[in-house]
Amino acid sequence: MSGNMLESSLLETHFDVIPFGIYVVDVATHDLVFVNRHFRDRLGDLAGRKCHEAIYESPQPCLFCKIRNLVGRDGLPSGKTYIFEHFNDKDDRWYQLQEKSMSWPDGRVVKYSIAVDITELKEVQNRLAEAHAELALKNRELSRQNELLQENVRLREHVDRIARHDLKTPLNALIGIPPLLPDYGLNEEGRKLAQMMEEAGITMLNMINRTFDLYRLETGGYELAPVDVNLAAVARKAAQDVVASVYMADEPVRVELSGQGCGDGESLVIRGEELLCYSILSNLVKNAVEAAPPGSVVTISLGREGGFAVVAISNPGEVPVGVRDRFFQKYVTSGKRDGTGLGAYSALLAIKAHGGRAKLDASQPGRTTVTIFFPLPETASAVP
Amino acid sequence: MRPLNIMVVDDSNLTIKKMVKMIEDLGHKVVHVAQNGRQAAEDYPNVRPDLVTMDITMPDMDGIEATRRIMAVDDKAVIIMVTSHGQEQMVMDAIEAGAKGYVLKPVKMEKLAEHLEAVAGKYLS
Repeated sequence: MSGNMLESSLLETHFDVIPFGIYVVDVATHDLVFVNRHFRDRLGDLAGRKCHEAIYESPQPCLFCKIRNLVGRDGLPSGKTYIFEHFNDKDDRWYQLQEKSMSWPDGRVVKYSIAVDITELKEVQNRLAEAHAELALKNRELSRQNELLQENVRLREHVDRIARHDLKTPLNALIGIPPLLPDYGLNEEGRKLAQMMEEAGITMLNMINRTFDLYRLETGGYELAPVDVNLAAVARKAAQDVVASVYMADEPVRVELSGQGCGDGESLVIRGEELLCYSILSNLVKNAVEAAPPGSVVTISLGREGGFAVVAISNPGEVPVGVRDRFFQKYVTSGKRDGTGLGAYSALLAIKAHGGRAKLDASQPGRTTVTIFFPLPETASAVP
Repeated sequence: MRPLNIMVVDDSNLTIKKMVKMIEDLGHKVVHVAQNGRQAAEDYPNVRPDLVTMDITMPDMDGIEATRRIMAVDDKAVIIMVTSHGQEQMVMDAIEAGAKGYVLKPVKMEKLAEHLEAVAGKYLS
């Protein structure tokens, strides 16, 4: 036996005792030079055949073949080792392949590849990857549904806007004509009826405008045009108007500033929109008055607290337990036959548009207090 | 589930043989076979199968690019990736390209049946 043959035989014996598949390939020809016992037992003696044909049943060298990276330009071993995972279609199993080039005893440059079966490990990994894919597919589906939903909402809002605009046009006549009617000869009763008609038209116009504001507040499209607003004056007006429209008792709503009765000259100034502040307070005061037992007093207490103007609207009576957590949510109403469930909701949106916040305090038995915090001008300017 | 007309795209003869056998054993029909992405993209408009099983690593054009091209001509195309690539980025690329399912090799009969049924129920009913 020549020295080369002896050396080859020793190498082959070493490879044969390793319990993983090993094959050796001539890097120039892709001919299999040697296949160890582990592989021979499973695939037969493949020596002399092309590796890609015998092992992978591919007429061409494999796409993942690393031979070109394993030899240098001079055709000698590059010294690099490649370790990668590969799925073998032939036996449906996953392998970790470790490949390196070396000089075979007969002088040829060869690549040896050690293949460790990692199928069991890959099954777990693959299940995870498939679950990840499933999740990504569901996410895509959800975002498509969401896009469709938003498109539908946009379409509906567009139709709503047109409807609101169309509703306003006939109101011009309903609001504009009644003041002219007395000139055409009306008795006292007729003038009263014409005035009622005009007031009803104005109320309806305000309602239409309010729904438009609500839409803009909900969608974040409301642009606040802040000016100085005297909350004390707004609170007095809201109290007065609510009393006139809802409650006929002598003094059901009391307005206080810093614990004292709030007169005409008193002021608590914030930056905001007067009409929106009026809407906030009248909504919440109306809720309080409607919830309070007949003959009881509702209090609006104004004050300052840590950089905020604070308005606390307090009434006897309790908000039902099931409603407390949802008090400011849309369509939440309780005990009112005509309640829309939009009063507290729209008030909170408007408060937020002012950079403020609100909270419900139902902890005191038999009493309900809604507290609003508006940033005072110096605080508001400090908030980015 | 009604029998589906399926196009198989894979560069491995072994995988093609196995896929064709499994698909037919499940009662569906393999109407076309393509061995690379370019061929798949070119043949799809004429074949118009109900569903495509698509490998990712192929010569000439990979399965993700082929999926993009098929989706460009038929945005309702139902393509399931059948691949050995489980890396997150590959999964995301395939799904962004328009794949409706993702199956990792080895593909066994039950797994293929499950995926075909799920995808057909969602997109082909």
